[in-house]
Amino acid sequence: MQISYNWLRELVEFDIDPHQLAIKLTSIGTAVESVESLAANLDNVVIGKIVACDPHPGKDNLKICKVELGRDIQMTVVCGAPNVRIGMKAPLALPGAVLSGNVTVQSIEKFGVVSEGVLCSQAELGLSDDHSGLMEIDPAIKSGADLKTALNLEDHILSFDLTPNRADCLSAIGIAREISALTGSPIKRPSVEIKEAAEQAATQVEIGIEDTEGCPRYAARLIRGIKVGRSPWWIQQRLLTSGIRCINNIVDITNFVMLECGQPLHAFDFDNFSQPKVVVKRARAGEMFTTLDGVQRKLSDDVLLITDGNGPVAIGGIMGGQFSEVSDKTVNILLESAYFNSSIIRRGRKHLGLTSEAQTRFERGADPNVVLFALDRAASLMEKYAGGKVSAGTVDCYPNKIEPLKLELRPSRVNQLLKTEMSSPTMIDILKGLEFKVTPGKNVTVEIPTFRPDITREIDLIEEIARVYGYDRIPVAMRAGGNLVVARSVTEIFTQCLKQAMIGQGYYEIVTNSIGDPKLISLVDPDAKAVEIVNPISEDLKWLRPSLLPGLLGVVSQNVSHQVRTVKVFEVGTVMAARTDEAPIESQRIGLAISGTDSGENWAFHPQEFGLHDLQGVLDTIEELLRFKLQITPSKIPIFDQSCSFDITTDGTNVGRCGKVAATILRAFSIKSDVYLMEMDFDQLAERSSGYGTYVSLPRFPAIERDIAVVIDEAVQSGSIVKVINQAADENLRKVIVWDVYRGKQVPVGKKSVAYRLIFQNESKTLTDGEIDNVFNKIVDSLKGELGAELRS
Amino acid sequence: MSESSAADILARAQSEIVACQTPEQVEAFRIQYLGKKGIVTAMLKGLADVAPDQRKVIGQQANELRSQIESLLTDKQAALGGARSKSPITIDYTLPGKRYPNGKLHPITQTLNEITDIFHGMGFEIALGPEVETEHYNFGSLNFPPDHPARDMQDTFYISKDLLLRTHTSPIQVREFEKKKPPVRIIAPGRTYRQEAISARSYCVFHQVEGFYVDRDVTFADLKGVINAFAQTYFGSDVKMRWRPSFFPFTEPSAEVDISCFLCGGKGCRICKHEGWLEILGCGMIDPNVFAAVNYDPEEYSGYAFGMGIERIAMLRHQIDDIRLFFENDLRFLNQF
Repeated sequence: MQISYNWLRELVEFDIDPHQLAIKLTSIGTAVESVESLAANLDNVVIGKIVACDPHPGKDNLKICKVELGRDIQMTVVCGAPNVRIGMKAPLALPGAVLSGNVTVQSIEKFGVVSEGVLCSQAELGLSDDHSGLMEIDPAIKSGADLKTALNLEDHILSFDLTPNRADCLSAIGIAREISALTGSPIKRPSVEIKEAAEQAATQVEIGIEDTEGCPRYAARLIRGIKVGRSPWWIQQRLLTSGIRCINNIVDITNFVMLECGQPLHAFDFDNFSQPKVVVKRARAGEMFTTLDGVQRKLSDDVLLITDGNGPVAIGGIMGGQFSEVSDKTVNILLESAYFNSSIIRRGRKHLGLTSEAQTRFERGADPNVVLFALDRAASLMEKYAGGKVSAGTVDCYPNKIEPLKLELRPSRVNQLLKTEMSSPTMIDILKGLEFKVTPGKNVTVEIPTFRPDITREIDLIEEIARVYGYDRIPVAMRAGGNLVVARSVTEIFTQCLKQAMIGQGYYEIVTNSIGDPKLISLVDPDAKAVEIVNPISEDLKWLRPSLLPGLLGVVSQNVSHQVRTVKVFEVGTVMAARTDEAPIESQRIGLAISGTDSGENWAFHPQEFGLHDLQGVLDTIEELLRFKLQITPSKIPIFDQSCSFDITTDGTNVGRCGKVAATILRAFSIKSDVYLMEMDFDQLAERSSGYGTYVSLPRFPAIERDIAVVIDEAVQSGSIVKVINQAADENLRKVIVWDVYRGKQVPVGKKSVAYRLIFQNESKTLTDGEIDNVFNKIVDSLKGELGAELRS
Repeated sequence: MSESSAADILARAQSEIVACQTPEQVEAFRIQYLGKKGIVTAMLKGLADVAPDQRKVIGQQANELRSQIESLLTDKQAALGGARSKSPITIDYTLPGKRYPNGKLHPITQTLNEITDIFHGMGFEIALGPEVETEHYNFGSLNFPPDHPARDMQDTFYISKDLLLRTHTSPIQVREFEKKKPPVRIIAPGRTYRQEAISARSYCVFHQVEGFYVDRDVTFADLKGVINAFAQTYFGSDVKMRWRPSFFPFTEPSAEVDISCFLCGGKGCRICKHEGWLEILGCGMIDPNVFAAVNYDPEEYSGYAFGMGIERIAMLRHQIDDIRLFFENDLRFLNQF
């Protein structure tokens, strides 16, 4: 919402410049988003009277005008505006003036005639976007006068960014009240005088409310004989500075009054009613109605209708109908001022997908008791500026009067909660400044005006006091208190350790969208029970991820396309699995992806293509962190190449999967290089994490190493060799390290050579060569006997 | 083995090396003396069988012999200019270091960790909550009346009539209050969702940190204390604070907190949009209606709560101008933090 600074100054006296005012209002919660000077660029624009207007000989649609600026000065101006005519007054921009779009006016020849200035539209002056013709200036204003001064354009526009609870601030008076609370000066409400005609409105129109919950109050006045035309400049200016388009005097006056006091009004062309009657009721589902913006809308029973007893004339509180709208020909109007319940307006707005200035105010909460003031204010202006005759009396249907709420305030509670030392009178002054009626006492009784539906409890009053008193004046305290035992969970510690370990190995942590594309998700996990969003922002962001893998592949795809040689990424995040009639199961997973070559771009290393063993390296790291074993066993997971697809298990429980991504999947993600993926159930890992290690005493006797290299069939897995070694050995064999795998010249085709370092150690003595030879020979025999291995030396 | 035999071996080697004219001959010489089964190697291996009292002397001799033969070899190789010659090497200290590069934590995690660490240090425990929430926990229990405009402050993704993706981490307050009796002091980070079009300024997924403290006599002054302490710890002890009244259904009174722009010191720049202030969080005293929902007596207990957007804080700290970068995970971006 925008309100001009000058307008506020008319409503309340204060001596604060616009920028300071913005800061002060913001400091009490009436947030000002921006302050803009209305007429920063209106130097060198004066008021000119057009005294001659002749066709331009060189160009059909142009006129050559003589513009008088005071008694002795006349200028020649070439003008193409459709409304230019002799006798009118319009703004004339002289050379040096800067018009909207940063155009500097110069004396310039136009088709053989020198134009000494520019006659301007509102748009050219930057006052509005109206470029339909020259801006019409009140003939009473003196020619030659400076436009800015004459039209009171030295003004600032304050744009407010109000929180949804502050409906009371959606008007100039509402903002003025905040200033009044700040400064202590009272609000000057406009006085209203109407010379009513003899005709009694009540005899001319009958009002009935069928839905008194949706519409607790409906009041109207009848105004006859109006002349629809242009509004006076001062009303136009109020609307322009508030960013509202000017239509005609009648509509402009309803909008002006709404801006002034916050009460939306609607003017009907009364002659278009089929009978002199207003009936407020709910629409029938499926009923059609054309609103004044020309759109035909399908209604529901969440929509409130204003009808003439036969058919609808407006959507209550949201928008008028096209059929009953005020037009140039309108003579008699029914002026509506009503109070609609905020929930029905909200439901109607949601159903229709239609917002308006009126709807916003009703939805946030209007004031049922400003209805008559607004009605009379608008009627008086229509009498004055549209030549209307106001019929006597108001027809006011208000079956259950809404009374102001009364609350008790304990001053001690205010100070207790804010840790302040405010006196009761200070609090009372603040509340009075906000136009609350206050009865002092040990407990203060506060009558809440109906324009503040947001204040319903003592705590709401405490906030009012706090914000006006100033948050900056509330002291700052720092105390420990409470419970200081703040242990970290095992999961939390494990998460941190794991992430650190991953980055230590060169993995980048990624954070991907947990909402994904159903097509990609079902490609990666054809059996996924994904959770679907009912109201997605688009079709490709519709499912909650059941796995981290599609996100990982997306990130690989994007980075590979930038010629990144080494992609090593991981994510720890929540995945979801749908359940029927229950909240989905949420679990944490860790996923990682590698693609390209390891060791990146360091001169000292020879880059190697990533492979399964890189994933195993991560598994080993996790094993080390967790102090338990993880195994991988071949499986047939659709996303993986069937020659390299594995389940990850621990103690027989499946905790994840890993492998080389299948070519079809890579194509779907537009990835040309190989990608290896791994995903594990993070919760299951964390659960098994033992937290802190327990010390085992260091060995006191030396370890003895023996190397053994076996030549063996390609198909034999190292795991089975190690198993045979361990079975053949005694308890002195402490560790078996694979230190070389070789295929090449010195090994026959179809075989490989695998070298192991066996580490023997005993806790209570130094082992002798003889003892070790003994075991070593047994190992060699077993390898030969059980696996057909040959020794290589 | 005796002293003379070591001398004999050396003498023989000296004469043989003279005869070597090609790198191949030099290599054969090397194998003969120093190879796996070479003469000197055998001598060293044989030490195990020598009587312990002689082992030291003979060991010395053998080692001396090895270094003498090595120097014969080196000289000959240098003379021949062969492949094994060791011409002096200049250390190129301008080469990049030899290392396997580290990865990095995502800037969101870095920011989150730093924030939670600060609060952890001030006595806040960490709690988490589900990302799929019920209407009740996300709105109802937090004093968002049905059909209230406040609900429009947070555009919501629904997955069924009653289930939604949490729009803030505040439901964790209620979940923790249900589990515990005051004093309760918790920091609760997590992923949150808003049904908003994706742009440079907003993303459908983001992260928040929620903090709250309920006890006897917790006051607005305590809230100011903890928030000021956080801001000065995180952004620097010279930042100035601005507290603006605001509105959240679950706090009353409510505030939004700005810090003076750490880039321009409050004079106005691009980052603070020439305002001199940067909004960092929303907070307030927990609304009595929230307490009513969990059977805390609002006359006995009071508390504060605050929440901040991690992306926003990270964007401020690192001067990132597009929130989408966090979720694109371009390594050239991640590498910068």
